[in-house]
Amino acid sequence: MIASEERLRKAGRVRAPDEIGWLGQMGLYLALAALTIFCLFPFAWIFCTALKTLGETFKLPPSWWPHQPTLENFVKIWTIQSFGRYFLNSLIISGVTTLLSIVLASLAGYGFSRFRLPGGRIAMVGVLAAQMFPGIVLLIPYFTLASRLQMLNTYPVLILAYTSFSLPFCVWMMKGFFDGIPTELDEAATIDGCSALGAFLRVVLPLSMPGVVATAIFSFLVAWNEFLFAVVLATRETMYVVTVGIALNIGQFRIQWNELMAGAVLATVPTIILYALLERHLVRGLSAGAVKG
Amino acid sequence: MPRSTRSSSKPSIPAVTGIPTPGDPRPRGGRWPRWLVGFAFVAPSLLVLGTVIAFPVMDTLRLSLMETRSKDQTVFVGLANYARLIQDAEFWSAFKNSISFTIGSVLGHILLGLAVALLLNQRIPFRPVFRIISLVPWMFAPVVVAMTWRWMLDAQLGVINFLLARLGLSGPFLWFENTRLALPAIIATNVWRGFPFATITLLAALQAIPKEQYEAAAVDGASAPMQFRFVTLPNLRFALIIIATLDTIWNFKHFDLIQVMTNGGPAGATEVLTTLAYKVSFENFEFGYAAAMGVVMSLVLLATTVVYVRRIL
Repeated sequence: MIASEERLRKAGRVRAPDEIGWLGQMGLYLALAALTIFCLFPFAWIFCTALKTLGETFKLPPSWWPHQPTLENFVKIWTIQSFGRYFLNSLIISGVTTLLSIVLASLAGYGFSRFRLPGGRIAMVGVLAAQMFPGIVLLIPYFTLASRLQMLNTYPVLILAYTSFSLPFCVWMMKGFFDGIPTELDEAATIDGCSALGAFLRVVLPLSMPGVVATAIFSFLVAWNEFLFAVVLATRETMYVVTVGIALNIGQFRIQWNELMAGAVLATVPTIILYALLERHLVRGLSAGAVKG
Repeated sequence: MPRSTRSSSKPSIPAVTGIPTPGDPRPRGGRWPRWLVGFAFVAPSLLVLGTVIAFPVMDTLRLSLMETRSKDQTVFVGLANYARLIQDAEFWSAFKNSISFTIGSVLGHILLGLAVALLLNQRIPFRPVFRIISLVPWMFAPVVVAMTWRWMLDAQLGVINFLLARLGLSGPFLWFENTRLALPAIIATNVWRGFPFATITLLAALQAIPKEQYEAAAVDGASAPMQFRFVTLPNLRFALIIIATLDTIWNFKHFDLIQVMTNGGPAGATEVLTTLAYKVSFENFEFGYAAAMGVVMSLVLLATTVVYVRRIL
């Protein structure tokens, strides 16, 4: 896998010779400009709306730039609409989900990569196929079970669900990373007196940090963005997560768009930070599978 | 996804359990057979997946044969729920909408994703920056995307109707009140949200195409469109199949965008199977009937998954 990545990178640098004149160059830059506007305008627009006063939000024609920019919407939504609480709930749930996913997925990925297990191949396919079920199929029995165990409106019930959503992909990804690390390394560690767990923790895992990072981002985003399970399993107002807080606002009769957009901006802050820091790893982890065939 | 398991392709790991071979990296003392050590690594994940996925799937199957009379009373009714589904016009309308939503979204993702991937594969300055920019739509929570586009498509105050009016198109377009516009508006939103996955996957596949193939084609006198047809597309085949199948699965079971943007309205014009099953289960509390819907959805998805798994194994 390391070898194929190298090939990929080289191939990326030396592309097919493209003979395009200045007209082609112009077209290229126009297309890039269009792409940039297409991708960024909606985000710029919610940011712009979030800084507007209520009066300006309802003004026609819409102003492209807030005339009296204000942070009042952020303050309001954070305190009066208790977005602070939703934010905290989302952070706790996503954070613990991320930790659990890293631990479970790297252990399982190592198990599938290094041990010939009875039925291991079937289990790997089963893990993958687990992603296909629609949420509602899982949700009805899970809801009934949680309600019988008095677990509705608790963190663990959502953390467990989100961990299971992120695991299939993360297990496959971690297995892919471990497959690329020579088994001679584990063998050497074992001969030096490491247990199987020791060889994994001290030798193989430190070499797989890009996989761990990709697992972390992926599972955090799965948990942070989820909506269906959150809206059914956490119905008490103090247990709302950010997505639920936003969605319930939109159902109101007269929507305070500027406040709602402030909520939207806040909801994307952790995501933006993660992407900015770690985009490279995620893209590599995600695209590793598709070019292999 | 990676195709081969190292343990089956590398003979350096002893395959037979329990029998010590030279270089067998068993834990010292060797009290545990090797397969048990491996199982211990895998077990926690399987336990989680069993609780949240395997058990509920089985239970939904059972529940689909029951009728929920009250909170604690369920009665076995055989296939009555399925018989009711066949005669339920709402169900068939939702089925049709689910298929329209899925086909529209997948086609949009692939066409737009391919166009952007081809653009980013050109010799352009700041490629990493543009790659991040084209990922932006994908990093929003679907709920946030739903709200953003609801605002931009608002009939009176929305920026899109304002721009359309500037272009001379007579409006205002009532995107979410008009039964013919609502589903296309949601599909367009979903195309914007989901195309980056196709883009990064196709871009990786494009960059893996050996340039010798283009050189050979050029030597043979192939024009740029011919090179695209006979070199680029065949090399993208595998990635395209993967994207199409995965995307079909994801969109057929998509819930968030539609629930938040229209809640299935107006007059059921955007009601898909997931939103309908949500209403039946968590608003009407007819768990048995909703479970039957879920089983039908799962069968459709199972067929798609079989295609996918057979392609990658």
